Amino acid sequence: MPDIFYQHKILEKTIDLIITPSNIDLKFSGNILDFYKDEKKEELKLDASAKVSDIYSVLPNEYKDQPEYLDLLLLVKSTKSIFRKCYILEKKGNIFKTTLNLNKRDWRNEVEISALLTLKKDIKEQNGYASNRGTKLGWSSSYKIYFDEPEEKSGGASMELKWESFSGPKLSWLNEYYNEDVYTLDISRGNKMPKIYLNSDIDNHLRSLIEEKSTRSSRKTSSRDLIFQTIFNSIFTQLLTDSLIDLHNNVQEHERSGSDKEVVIETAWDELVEWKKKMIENYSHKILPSSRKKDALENLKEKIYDDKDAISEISRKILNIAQNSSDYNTQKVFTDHARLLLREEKK
Amino acid sequence: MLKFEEILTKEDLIDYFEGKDFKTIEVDNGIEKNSNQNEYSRIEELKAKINNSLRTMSDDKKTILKSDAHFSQTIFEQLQYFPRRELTDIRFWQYIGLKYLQNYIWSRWEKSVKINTPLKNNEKIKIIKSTNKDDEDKWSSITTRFLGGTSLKSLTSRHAISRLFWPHHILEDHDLVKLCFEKQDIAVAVFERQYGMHPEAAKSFIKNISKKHTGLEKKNIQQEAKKLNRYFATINADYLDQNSIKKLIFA
Repeated sequence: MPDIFYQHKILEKTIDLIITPSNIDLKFSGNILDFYKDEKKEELKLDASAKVSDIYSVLPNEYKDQPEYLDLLLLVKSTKSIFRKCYILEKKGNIFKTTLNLNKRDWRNEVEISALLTLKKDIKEQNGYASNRGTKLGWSSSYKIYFDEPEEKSGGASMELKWESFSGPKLSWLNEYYNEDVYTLDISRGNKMPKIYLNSDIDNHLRSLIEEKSTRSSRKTSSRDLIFQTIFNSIFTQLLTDSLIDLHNNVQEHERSGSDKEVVIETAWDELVEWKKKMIENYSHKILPSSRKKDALENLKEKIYDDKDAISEISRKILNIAQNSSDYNTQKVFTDHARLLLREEKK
Repeated sequence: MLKFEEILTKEDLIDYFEGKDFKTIEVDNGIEKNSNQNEYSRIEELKAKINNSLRTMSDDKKTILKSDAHFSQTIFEQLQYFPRRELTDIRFWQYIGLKYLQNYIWSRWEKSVKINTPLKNNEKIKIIKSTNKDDEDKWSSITTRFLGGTSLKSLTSRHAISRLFWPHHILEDHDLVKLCFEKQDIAVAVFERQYGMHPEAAKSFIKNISKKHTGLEKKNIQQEAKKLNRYFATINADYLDQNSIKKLIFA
């Protein structure tokens, strides 16, 4: 359900939508169907059925139990395909049903399907109830169909960490001057998530400390945590800086086109690669701690548009944002380590 | 018919003009289902038609700026048979723009270039990228016209060729296309926003905006576009016909 405050009554429960491919070979995994994996099939036929609890609760009393005032729609949309369509589901008893066909030649990337309850006709205005035809009154969760392999996981994707020789061909840009370093971040992977590399040629003692799995508090684990925290801070700083600079550059570029603020911000955001969006989205409330958590992202985008110095102002604090953004606060990790060492010294 | 294998970046554009070959892949041409015309001849014909229009055009830059609707019709007629999947692929448009319709893009979008005057590659590079006094890269806005971008708007409003194709596809009527491009602010207001994808909403906005604001001032167009966009947060645009949307515009 969208994060909007509706001034009219909406369904209290989400619409129960079930979508199944007519072809038994194809199956949704959760709400996702990877149709691109089936290279032979050109067309996807889907059966949709939906159930709405307490459907008439969205209508004022005088219209209650009158199905002619409501329509249940199946929305099919895909931003990348510049296409959206809505089908009216047919009521059969308590269930709403329809079928649809999607052809591979028509669609790109991700197609989203969901159900929406809507007002069918304009009705007399009554406080607390919708009155305009087309008003959104209730939602289902969405199904996603991928017509192309997603470039990266859509959310919660973690960064890959690999041991690799800094003198080897895979990390050729480090070979000449940086081959004795401990870690590096490959950020130049286009739309793909950056990768962290640890140098497989480092001293064995250091490697064994980094690979230590124990969670028991000791000099060893405390030193390992200290190393992790240092690596985290620098990598986080680079990722966030890169993401913010890209957003800033996109805003500036689209501002030159003469579009209005709303469009510039939206386009600049749309054109960021997914992982950069996630970075900014996940940490916007750390960047603007005085904003309400749910408003922080929008406030940040506006700040970058409105204030030309916003980026330099954020850059001054970016190391501090990093120190406060990991699961383990930097000040705590460093202090714990210092205490442990000094306590042992006293003994 | 081909398209680039990867989406070209700004740096790639410089390399392209320096003569680098970029890998290409075949486009699904849609011939069997929709047309008996050869895909290459369609593109070659498009190139010839556009160059012909450019040749007969006066040197006054205003003429080409006012000819978007004309070129929109030509481009739509020649490319409409390609599958939607290809027509929404920015690699397809980047390839067509660079390989076949460069002359048009330079003439339409670069102030310093006279209509239908071929440029040398070093001249193109000089226009595209310069550096400011701090040695920072300064990219010309024409790069967007060659490359588009990754957002929806890049197809409907930014890339020099696809921005002419898609409004025609959505509006389905040449007179509406003319109205849309008569005042660039209208085209921008509609096709830079999500509701530009709703044919009924786009049509209704274009038909009615000049009735509500006869002067078609940029500020008013933007305000109305914003207002309509806000309505669509609570009202489902897909479900409405043009009359219902007209009511919202005049509300």
